[in-house]
Amino acid sequence: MTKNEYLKTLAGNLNGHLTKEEIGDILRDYQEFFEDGAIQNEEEAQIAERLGDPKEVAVQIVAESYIDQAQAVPTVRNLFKARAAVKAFSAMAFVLSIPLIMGVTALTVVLAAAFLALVAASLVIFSGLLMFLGSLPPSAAGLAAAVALAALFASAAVLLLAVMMVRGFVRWMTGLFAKAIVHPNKTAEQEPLPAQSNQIQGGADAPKEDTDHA
Amino acid sequence: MNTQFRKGAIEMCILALIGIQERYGYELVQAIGRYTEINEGTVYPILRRLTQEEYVSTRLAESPHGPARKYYRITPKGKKHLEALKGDWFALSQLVNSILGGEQHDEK
Repeated sequence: MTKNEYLKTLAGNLNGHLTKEEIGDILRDYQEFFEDGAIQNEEEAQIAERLGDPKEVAVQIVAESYIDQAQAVPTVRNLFKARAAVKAFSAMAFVLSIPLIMGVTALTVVLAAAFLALVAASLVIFSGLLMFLGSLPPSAAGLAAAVALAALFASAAVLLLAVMMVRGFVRWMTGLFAKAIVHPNKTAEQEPLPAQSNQIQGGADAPKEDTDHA
Repeated sequence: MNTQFRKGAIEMCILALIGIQERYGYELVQAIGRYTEINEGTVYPILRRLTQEEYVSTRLAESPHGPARKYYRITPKGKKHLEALKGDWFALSQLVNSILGGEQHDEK
């Protein structure tokens, strides 16, 4: 794959998901990488190979972008967008769909119930005030109004709680999706990471050596 | 599970490599390549996230014999974050090492 083919495929798979500025910025980064590789006498096909399938790279960028969005603005709509983006990534998204759909359904029921309670409470207030205000003794009318008002406040609280639950739920789900995105590795198993991390800790850019656990 | 674990570790290593010195993309990928084989195209998404989270700042610099390069530098926030990650990592790895390979634990 040539540099131009690589960048074109990458752009094509990002289009429609990210803004023009973001895509331009990403392409700039990968183009820089190709140019730096060329300085090191690497061939374009070689560099493309190193970078990995541009489609996979794009899928990862897109999925992360939707997850960021859902975490910043936790609406159910954004959650489903994130889910769709992650779905391309792993089977885990399919498994996650089950609690997702159950959760969304349950929350929708709670929301609907809260709405109905709100409407009912308002109706009680209005009908109570309109119909019985004259005929009831003042103390009973006052009591009825107080009860209706309390019901109104309670249902408003439930509604607020439901909205907060939806937001919390969306954040939680997107957190799970974020975990579902794993970087495609060339090799699944490597030598244990602690040794590598200790080398970095030492501050040296030393090449691979078995300094630890010797 | 392994891949997830690895993902977090690689992110931490990238931040650590930038923490040592300011680097540009190709240089950074080469540096990581000395330690492990990763799909190098995935380094940029990680860099984007680190930048968005303000652990890393970037600047574009013209270069005399190459493309304009984007340099990545760790921020004070990033340093703090890295220190916290390192602390967690060493505590965890010490625990795991001492359980998995008891006799090696006495070396340090």
